[in-house]
Amino acid sequence: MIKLFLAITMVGLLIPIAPGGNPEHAAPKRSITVPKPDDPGSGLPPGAIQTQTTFATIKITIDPLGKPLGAYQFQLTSPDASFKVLGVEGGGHPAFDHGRPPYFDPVVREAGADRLILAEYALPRLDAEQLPSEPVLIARVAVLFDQPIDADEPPAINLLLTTAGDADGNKIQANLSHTLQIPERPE
Amino acid sequence: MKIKKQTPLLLMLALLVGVSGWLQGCANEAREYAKRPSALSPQYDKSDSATGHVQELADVRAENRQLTQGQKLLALANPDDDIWVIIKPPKQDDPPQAANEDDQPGAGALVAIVPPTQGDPEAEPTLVPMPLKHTDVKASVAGYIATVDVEQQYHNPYAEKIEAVYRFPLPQDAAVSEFVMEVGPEDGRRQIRGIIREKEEAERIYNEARAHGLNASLLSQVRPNIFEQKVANIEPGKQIDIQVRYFNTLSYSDGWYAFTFPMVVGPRFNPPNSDSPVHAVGRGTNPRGTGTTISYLRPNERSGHDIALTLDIDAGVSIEEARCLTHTVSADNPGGNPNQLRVQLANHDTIPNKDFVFTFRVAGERMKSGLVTHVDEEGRGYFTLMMYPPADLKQLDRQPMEMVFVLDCSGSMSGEPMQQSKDAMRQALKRLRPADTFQVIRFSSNASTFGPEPVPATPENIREAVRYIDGLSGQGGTMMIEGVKAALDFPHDPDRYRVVTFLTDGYIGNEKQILHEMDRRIGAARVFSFGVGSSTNRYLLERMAKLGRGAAAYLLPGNDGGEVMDLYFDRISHPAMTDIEISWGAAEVAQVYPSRTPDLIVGRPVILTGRFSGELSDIRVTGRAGGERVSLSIGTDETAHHPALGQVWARRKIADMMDRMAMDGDHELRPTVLATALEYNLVSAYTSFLAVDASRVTQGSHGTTVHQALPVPDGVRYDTTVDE
Repeated sequence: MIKLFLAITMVGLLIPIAPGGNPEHAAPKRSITVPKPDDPGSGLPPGAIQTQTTFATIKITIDPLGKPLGAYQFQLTSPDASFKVLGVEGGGHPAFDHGRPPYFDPVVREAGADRLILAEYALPRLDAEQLPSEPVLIARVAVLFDQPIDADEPPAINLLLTTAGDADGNKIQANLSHTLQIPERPE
Repeated sequence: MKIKKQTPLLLMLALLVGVSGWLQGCANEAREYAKRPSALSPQYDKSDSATGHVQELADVRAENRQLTQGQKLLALANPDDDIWVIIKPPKQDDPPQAANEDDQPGAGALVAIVPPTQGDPEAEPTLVPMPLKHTDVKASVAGYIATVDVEQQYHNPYAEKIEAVYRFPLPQDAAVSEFVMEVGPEDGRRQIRGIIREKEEAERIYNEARAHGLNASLLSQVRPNIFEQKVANIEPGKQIDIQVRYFNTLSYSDGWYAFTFPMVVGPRFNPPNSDSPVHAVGRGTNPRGTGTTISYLRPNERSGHDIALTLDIDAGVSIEEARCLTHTVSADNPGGNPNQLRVQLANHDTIPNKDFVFTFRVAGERMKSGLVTHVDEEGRGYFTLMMYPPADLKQLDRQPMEMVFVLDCSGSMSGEPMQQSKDAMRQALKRLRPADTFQVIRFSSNASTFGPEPVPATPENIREAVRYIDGLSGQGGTMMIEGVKAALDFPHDPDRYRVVTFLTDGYIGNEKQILHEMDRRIGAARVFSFGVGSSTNRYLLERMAKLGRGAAAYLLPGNDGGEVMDLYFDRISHPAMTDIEISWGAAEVAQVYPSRTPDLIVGRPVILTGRFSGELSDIRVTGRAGGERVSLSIGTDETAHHPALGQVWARRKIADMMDRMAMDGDHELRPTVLATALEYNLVSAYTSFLAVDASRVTQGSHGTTVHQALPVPDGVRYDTTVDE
């Protein structure tokens, strides 16, 4: 069962931004003048093209339905909104903390659109009690949709659970869900 | 759906078919994939037989007593605790111990005291805040393959948001295959694994993310050995870390394996009309219009950027001797294992202004097997073979030589590099025989020669040449193309073996043009290149030697030029093994790189890497040397394994194709290079790593771009190499 939550606070980003930093922003330990002369003076950085795109983070949660979760693999696609994967984070549960973010299939482009295959495994020699058995965040995927995202018509996100296993390597049932978060520009 | 290369993914498939005990195997294999140093030890099929470690250490200590001061090596062995300390005597320009002390509360590590010898000794140090505050290098060597993790810590010391841009060197054969951006830790440490994308697309997305105010980072290749890191929207007082992992092979020369980590890009000279120049400008100077601009700190300036480096070596056989001539390091062998060594950069030698070069020699002159293999989860086999020259070559004498020395007399060579080069050339002239001829060519803004044509190596001519060499000095530009033309354009004496020896730091921006012209003119000449200085352009020097079927060597600061030249003459005093053919036994072997097998020279093995299926055994190499047929067999009974060989192979394949594109203008190879880089997750001329944190928009606009200013390399004068 896929639970979809869309939090859209901005539509059609890439609004030209005034040059210079925010003067109200807290200064660091001491104030140093930013060196010249690399700033072109425009609101956009050099090379930036104004397009109707949307940056977002897809947060993926797995529910192992009460069984200790030892490993999983899933595939992420979007059938109606082409997106590009820009980075992958782990979910932060200590059982899956290898000191580095999870690896994913680097061949993400398929038929003109990205798809992501990600697999993870728990640290070795963990007891079942140390593994999550409740819904747990397992990945945050930064993406760029090649279109504006309308809050009333969120893009469909397909999550396919390839497999999930418990601490003994036995296959278990699990459900995947996700939320889509679009970053909010600070006031 | 096709799953590639990700061990965990395959293991998940194993789960689907109900493989018992899968989970532990998953963890084990995934740990191997994660390439933790401890997981990368070579797995030899035979047990190691090295013994007598304490005695070896004592030998090292005894030998070190005999070393000259110039060699700067002292190993202290304590048989009780197995600790070595390799000490480089401090030079006057070594920073004082207190160099990194803050003199302003809360200033962080971004402020340092300028070492007095970098400018006016009486001048007050100038403190220059810069975004890159620290680089942490953790390298592990298994067999002769290095896995190197580099972490760059960017911090914003300014009152406004910035984009940091840093151009830095990596080994020219580095297979850069992992990229992680870490934001925080004030928001909680969050690590984002980046993705490889086509270069133009990655740049476009990065610029969009920057314009949105997102934290983003982009790693691109500027040259095969120069990379550019951009980090967008670093807020005041905040830090973003970039973690890069690469693999490469060690070099081997005359019994010594060498691990090299370059630390700074040297300032380049760009001849007029260079198509992709690398400009050297003073900090705060406007970037030049075309090409790449690198900013340098002025002589009385220093940023707080420092470096830490740890190197773990597992040679598979006993390490008999080790040296670091470039830095002060400490070394010990963990657990008393004589095959292993842990090396750490000393706390007071952390200014990244020269290459780190660590060399070691093992029992029996070489590692057990030069053959390393890996079969990936899709059944694709990869191998890397370090092919050593046959011992027979040392019994064969050389034919008369036509020796051409080409000396770089540009401004960047002034000082110690020029003196070392002169010492080396004087020594080389002494080693010539009466039947040989020689020529000396100097180049800077133009080229001139000792004589109108090569002269016989008579005592009188040699004395005259020494006087000519004594009068040379370093000043002016680096029109290396003139040196190349002068060295290769005159008629070849068919009765003599022509050897062209370049002595240069390689600080030029038109490498492609140089290599192209060399390729056109080289004929039967052999080219040997000597990199002279603390941070030479190793990409150029290695490629010149490869084109010229010779070898590259390096004269580091403190090296005795005469001694290095003696080794060189020992090498060229025997014929090379040419016309090499390799029989791979029962295995099917394909896509071997370099695609043209180089000649084998005494003291210098050749590294080949390729794909295979079947069993690699009974490898036999045949060729010709001095008119005789010679052959050798490659032992395969002690084959080692390494999980990163696919990426090492892919990087070599890309380098080979890029060479062909540069030489032949064959741009049809571009799609193949791109596909290979994307498939193997590698940075290349056409692919870049990108990472974006799309969870949060930072305060303010995209901020100002700050180029990380670099120190000029140790021993290089700012005033003769950097534009103001």
